[in-house]
Amino acid sequence: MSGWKYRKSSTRALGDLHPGGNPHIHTDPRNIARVALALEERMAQIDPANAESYHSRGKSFLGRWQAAIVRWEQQVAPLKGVPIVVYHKDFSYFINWAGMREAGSLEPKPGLPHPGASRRSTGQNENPARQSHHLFALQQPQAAEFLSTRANIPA
Amino acid sequence: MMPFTVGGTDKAKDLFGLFDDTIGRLLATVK
Repeated sequence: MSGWKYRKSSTRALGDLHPGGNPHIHTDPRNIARVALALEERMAQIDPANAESYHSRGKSFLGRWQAAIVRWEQQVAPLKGVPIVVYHKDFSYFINWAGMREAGSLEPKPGLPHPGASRRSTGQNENPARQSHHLFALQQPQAAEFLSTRANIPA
Repeated sequence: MMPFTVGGTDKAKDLFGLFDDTIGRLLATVK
């Protein structure tokens, strides 16, 4: 997978880490194509009576998907190099694919709730919004909206 | 707010919509 990162070690003291690496692979469209191809091959293997159907539908999907990737890669050109602050590191594959720069994350540790608006420090990502122009949040929009308002950057 | 997954927003009805909507939302912030 593009950008797959295994961890040599993990501990719950670091938060809710995924020992096998960041699993949010679907945010890179190139990985969707790889998964689709693997699914097509596996389904044909375990259900040979319908193998032709799996291959036909897989080919159709991958054709449309590759065309869409070409279109998306043209569309994301203005995003290249744009710094972005995320809430949780579940968009890293997209950020890598689009050529954006992940300036920091709002979570103090993966999977742990944000300490709230009164928190003055974000640990290793100290004041990430000051160096960033954009931020977005997935699980907890309140944190991003709070920072967006205070730092005057779009959320 | 990003859709993140299929069904995450009204426009992210399938995988194609997921990326269309995600990219559209990001582009809207940089304009």
